[in-house]
Amino acid sequence: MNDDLKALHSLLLAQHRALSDKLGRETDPDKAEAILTEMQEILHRIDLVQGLLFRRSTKGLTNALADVQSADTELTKAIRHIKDVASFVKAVADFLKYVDEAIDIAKTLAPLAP
Amino acid sequence: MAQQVQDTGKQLQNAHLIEQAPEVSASIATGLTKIGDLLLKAKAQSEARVIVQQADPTIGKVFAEMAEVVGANRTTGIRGTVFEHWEQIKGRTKVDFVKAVAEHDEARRRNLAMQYAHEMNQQQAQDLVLASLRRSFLALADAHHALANGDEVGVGAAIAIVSDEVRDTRSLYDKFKAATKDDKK
Repeated sequence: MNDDLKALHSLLLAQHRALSDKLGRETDPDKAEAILTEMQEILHRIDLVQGLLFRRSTKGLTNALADVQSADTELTKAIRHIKDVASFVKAVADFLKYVDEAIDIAKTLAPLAP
Repeated sequence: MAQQVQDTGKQLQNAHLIEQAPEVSASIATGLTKIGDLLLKAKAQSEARVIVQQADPTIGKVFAEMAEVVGANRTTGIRGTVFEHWEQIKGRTKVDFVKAVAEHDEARRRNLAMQYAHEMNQQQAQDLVLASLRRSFLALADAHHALANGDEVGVGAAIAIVSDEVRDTRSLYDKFKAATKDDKK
């Protein structure tokens, strides 16, 4: 398995779970709906990465993962302090921008040797 | 083997080294054939053992990798992905519940609470099936390793684990399928 993609997969699973936990404590219907929509966005990336786990790694992918990890820290802070829907959605979008870059690199990589 | 003795005798006779080809009695021929078969079987078994021993590290690695793909817990591998899909399904129910609370719709609230409990059970059941699959892969690796080392007790124990896991998985799967069927009604 590709260690970088495995780490990305774990990170996405953790963020999805964090949002699910947040949703469990949310009482505002609009905010709850917004959290669910962002969860769906992350789940879509989880499925994509799951299908790419057996790709070779490159330095480009490792670097992209470092960017995702920085964005991950920011998103964790944003989830902890959701003030308004707009800033929350922006925080998830910023995080997913780096995730998508890593996924785009992974898509171009050759499969791991058997 | 008996045939080889006769063939060799005929060759010696044709070369005029002996006057008469030796005759092998039927019972001795049968006995020699059986010995030949046993020797061939023993050779095949010993060759098979060598092949199993040579393949063991690779087989162990393949099963370990398959177990890793399934995931050691709910936060990794396919188990993690499946678990989060259920979180998403439950998430929809949670949002609908929050809306029902805001609208003071008691009946809908109750139905959604029941639906949520049902979804949680299905989530657990599917995770248990995957956990069982993972244990089966690891037990198969153990069985192969025991076979490579000629440890018949170890093979038996590992195969028993796999059989138990298959039975448990089938039972869980049947329950899961029945629950899903009930949902569609």
